[in-house]
Amino acid sequence: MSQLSPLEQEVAELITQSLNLDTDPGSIDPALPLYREGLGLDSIDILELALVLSKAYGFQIKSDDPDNTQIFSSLAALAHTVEIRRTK
Amino acid sequence: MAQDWTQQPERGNRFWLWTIVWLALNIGRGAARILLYPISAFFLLFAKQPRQASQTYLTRLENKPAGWLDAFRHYHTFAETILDRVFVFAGRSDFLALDVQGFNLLQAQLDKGEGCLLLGAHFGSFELLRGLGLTRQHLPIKALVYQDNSPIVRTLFQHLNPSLAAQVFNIGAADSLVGVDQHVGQGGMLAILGDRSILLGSKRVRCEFLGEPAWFPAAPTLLAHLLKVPVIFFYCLRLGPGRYAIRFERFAERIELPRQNRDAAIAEWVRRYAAKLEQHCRLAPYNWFNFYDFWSQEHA
Repeated sequence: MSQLSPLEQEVAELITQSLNLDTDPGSIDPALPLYREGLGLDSIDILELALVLSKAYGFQIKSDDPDNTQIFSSLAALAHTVEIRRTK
Repeated sequence: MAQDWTQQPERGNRFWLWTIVWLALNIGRGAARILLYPISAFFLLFAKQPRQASQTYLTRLENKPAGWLDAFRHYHTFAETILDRVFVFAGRSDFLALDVQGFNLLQAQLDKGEGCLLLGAHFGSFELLRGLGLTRQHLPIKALVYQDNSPIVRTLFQHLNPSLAAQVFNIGAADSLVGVDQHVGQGGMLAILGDRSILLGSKRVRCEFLGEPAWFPAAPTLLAHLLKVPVIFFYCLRLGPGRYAIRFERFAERIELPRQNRDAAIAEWVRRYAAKLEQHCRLAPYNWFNFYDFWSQEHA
């Protein structure tokens, strides 16, 4: 089992709670893709996640952000984005 | 194996499409309209799967076997809407006779500065309506579209009107929908067609349509729930040469999905949508433009 950083653990809990996943947040591989194969999220889940993150951490992800593909590529990438962009 | 519409090679070729568009815009709409007859006949003869799909649909609808003439009429109606769309995108649509009802619903949203979800189907011409809404009414509409569907047609309309062609969110990537909340939050309208289950998110609902279950996407319902805005059902039907009926109807003030029994709630909204669509298909059978096996068992 992979060891998550505290922020990764927190973001993983947000993901599983908001999307109603039957996955133990601590067991998510931080390098695993979130989309499709991997954690199995679709583009609507990703939108929901973006909404939840903006509420929890006070930053918006815009549609024309060139980093979007990277941001949602894995739990580790997502947690990293939260770390550098959060306002709360 | 049933070939779904995403894999269907684009029939017809670039040369003929551009030729007819050139003729239409330079010689006249009348000349181009005459050509729609042989073109429809050509597709009828050489594109077997769409013809079968058309006949299956029409047979279901009318309770009698649909023949070649029925499929021809179906194809021809579709071809006429594409030609009219060329004129809309080229900014030369004054000849159109439009009967619009329910626009007050959109006006009310604009006045309030509140966004909304416009829910339609591949029924009548959505692109024609989108073009008119953007060019004539300057509505803040963005559409969710799947771009790889028909590259030849896409290139043509991009050429005719690049700014119109750009007012879309492209479906198919992880971050496709990121930012739709900001568009809607600023009073924007988000248009989505709810009758093709493919590629629009991964969640689908099997729902009765014209007497047999078919797959519908859960995406429109989920989006309405997430965006917390009114849902307005719309269509733009071809009534005859250059004549269209444009309708906007209230579908839901809000869609709120419970955490428990969420799937059942989604299924109920999809059922309402499918029932509404069926009712309209019965009134205008030849405006249904899904030329693939709509009742496929496959969870495509």
